[in-house]
Amino acid sequence: MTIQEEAGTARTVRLIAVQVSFPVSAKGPYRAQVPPQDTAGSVRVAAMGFFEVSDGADYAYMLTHGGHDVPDDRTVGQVAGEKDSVEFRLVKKITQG
Amino acid sequence: MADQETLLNLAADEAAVAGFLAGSGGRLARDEADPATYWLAARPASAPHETYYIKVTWTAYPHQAASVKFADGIGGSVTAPQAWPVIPGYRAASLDICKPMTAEGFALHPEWQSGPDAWPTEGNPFMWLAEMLQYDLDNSYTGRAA
Repeated sequence: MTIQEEAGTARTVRLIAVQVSFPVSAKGPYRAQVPPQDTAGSVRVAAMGFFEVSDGADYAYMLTHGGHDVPDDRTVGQVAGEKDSVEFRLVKKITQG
Repeated sequence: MADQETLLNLAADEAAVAGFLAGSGGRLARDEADPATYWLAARPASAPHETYYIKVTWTAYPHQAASVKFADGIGGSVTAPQAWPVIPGYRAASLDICKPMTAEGFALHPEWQSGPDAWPTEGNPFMWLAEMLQYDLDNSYTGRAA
């Protein structure tokens, strides 16, 4: 993506297409274009807001990629690598029982 | 026996579940005798040589949670503790999962049937269940029950 700055110069900004699936929603997946330095935590919070869910005392919502938890402080760019898109799943991690 | 609505809803959702499990080296099979029962084969990411077989029996889909039991094979016995993985909340000795995601868990804890622990009925709850089972196998698994 190219953006025009106030000084009139143009620069290219890399954006990564993120998609977060959550099967028990009637809305379909959460989608956004984010810069690679954005964290997985910010994507998780945005997706939870989109799906209208929140963490509780005995459970938390986790972003997973390739089956594994993605730590909040990991950047989208680190997860995506050289790719221009990355798919996450939002999973309810239940700690009670 | 499940009603026709349940069977139609399961038929609509099962393909996504089969695709998800296949992506993790597992598979989904519908029971030959009971079309509301499925057998899942799933592997922990940390132990891909270990395959776990899970019998999932629906009674009113998507309205109620399924009975979830680990088995010694597809179509096999569900009474063997050794068929169970060691995961918090997965009770091999009791042959149940004590979490708000199974019929057994909701029967043990009626308070889970409302509020944030309630069984979800929108979208594809079968997929939600499969994702959580695979998530636990990938992230909380420490071995096979003795």
